Amino acid sequence: MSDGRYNIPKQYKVDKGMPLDTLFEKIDNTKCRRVFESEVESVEWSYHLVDKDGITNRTALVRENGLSVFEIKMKRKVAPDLLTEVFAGLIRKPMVMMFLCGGELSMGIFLPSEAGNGGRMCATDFYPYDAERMINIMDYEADRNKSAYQIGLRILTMIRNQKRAIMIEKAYERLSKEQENEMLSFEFSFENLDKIRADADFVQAQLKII
Amino acid sequence: MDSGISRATAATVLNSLKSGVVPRIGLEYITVGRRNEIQALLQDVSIIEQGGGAIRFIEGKYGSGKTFLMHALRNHVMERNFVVTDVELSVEKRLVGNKGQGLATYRELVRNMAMRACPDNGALQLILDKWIGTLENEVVQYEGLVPGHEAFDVRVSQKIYKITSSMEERVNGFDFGKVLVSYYKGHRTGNTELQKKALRWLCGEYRTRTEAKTDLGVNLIISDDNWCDFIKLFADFVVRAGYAGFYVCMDELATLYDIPSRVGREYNYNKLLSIYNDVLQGKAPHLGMIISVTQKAMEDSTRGVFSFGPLRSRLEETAFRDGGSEDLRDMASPIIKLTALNPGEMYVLLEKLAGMHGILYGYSPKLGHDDYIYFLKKQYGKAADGEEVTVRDIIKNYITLLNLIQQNQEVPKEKILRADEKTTSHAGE
Repeated sequence: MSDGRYNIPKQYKVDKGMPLDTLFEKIDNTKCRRVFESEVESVEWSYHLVDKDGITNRTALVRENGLSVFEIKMKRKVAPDLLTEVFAGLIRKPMVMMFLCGGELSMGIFLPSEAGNGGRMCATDFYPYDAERMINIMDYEADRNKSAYQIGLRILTMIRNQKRAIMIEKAYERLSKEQENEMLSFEFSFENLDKIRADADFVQAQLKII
Repeated sequence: MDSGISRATAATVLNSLKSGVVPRIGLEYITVGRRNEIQALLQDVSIIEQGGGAIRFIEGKYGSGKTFLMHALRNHVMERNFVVTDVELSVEKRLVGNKGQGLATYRELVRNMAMRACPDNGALQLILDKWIGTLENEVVQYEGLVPGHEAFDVRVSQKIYKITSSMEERVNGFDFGKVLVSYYKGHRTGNTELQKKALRWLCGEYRTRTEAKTDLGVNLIISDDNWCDFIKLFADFVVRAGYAGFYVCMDELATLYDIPSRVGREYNYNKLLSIYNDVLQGKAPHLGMIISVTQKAMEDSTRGVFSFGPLRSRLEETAFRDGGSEDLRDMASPIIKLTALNPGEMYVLLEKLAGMHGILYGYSPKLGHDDYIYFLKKQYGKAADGEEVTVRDIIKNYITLLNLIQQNQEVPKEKILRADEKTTSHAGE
């Protein structure tokens, strides 16, 4: 489904469904495992960006170190930070995650530290899928002569910026919604409606010639 | 709900609104949230009744209720004994044009003349006949002469000539009066052909002066250049014929904005300027004009009315418009800007329409407070999603909803009310 969607050439295509039972078995926290079993519909390893050229088959591709792209379909939304953290713990390699749910999208990234413990991760909140706001995982101009890890760093920066922008947008949306609700509760108050009815009756009486 | 509404009125109102057009009758029952605008326009009507002139532009978006307001006023002034007329401007009907578009507007205005006894259109002949009949009655009542008496026709003729000669001082009044006399002569002698010729002339249907001279003895015909003078003469005449004034409704002034050539637009704006000046300078007593226009067609500085300097300087709002508060509006301004009905006003409108629906189909509408709010939130939600939603659209949707609820009374109203929710979510899937 993701053909061309992330601007990645075909040679990096993996398209491999992940066995959820095996994957989630590794989650220590029972509550967390239950949440993932119940809310994750599918996990697909879509692409794997590597530094080595000339790889022609998938088996060879997935053996190389690089930056993986996963598409995770959700039945319901779960906090993207939690999703990113848990998947990072399960897969433990540099990866970009696309969480898809009900026409909305969230992007997460995990870049393990070279020492092997911890690493850098970041995720945006869910936002309506919008081509204009889509982050190109491959930016041919910016990524020329860059390693997969460096590409990962660029994506991390972009996701951080996107996260901030989406947070501001959501906060503003909440504020507008609250103001709108406040306005509507006045508009639909019995007192206001009675005043409008009285005005309408007055106009009716004025317009009507008996 | 006001029970003064008849089923026929309810049917007309609901059917028209369902089709997206403004009903001709019953508008007073569904006028909501336009108190200030109506007050201002009624103030104009009083001025016209007292011999003044008034002109107003109703500015608003498509579907915001401009035509509605015009028709509401039209119906009201008709009941106040005005002669009313209306025209919808279009490519063929403008204020002036090189293919007779101005004359076409005039013809439409004369064709659409209406009054209380003839509320739809085609009232000109009735107005003339009633005028003559009134004068004949006066002669019978006050002078004791009966039809057939040798002095009867003389006295009526004298009255007719008195009126027509008093109009002679006005521009083109001499010929206008002469044609009215011809109509009367036709009436008196039973010469219906002469009456028809006079009517044809008044309707602007004579093409050449020679033809008019031969048929009616007048050296003038109504044309693109002079038709406005005849509208003013009609205003003068209808008052002399016993009416309170002449009220002209002009819809879709936005048509002028669409004229491709700048010269063509300016000719039209110039004509509009002369109408505006005449009405407000007291040269058109008893004449009222109400003109609808969209904001863009009015305020666009390259093609709109405001692109024509003299009109812009007359119509543009002054620096004091806001009066220090954005809630204050100067309702005496020549432009009445229609704001969208707010949610509370829409709520009351929905209530009124539900009441009408109940009267039409003889049932008690089931919708309650929460249902109205739910419906409106859904409609406004569409606007928030970037869909253009006008009052017209909301009303059309609402009447469909009322029809469905009434026609499927065994189905819970919530199911019908929330049907579009399902449709939307399915579409989303």
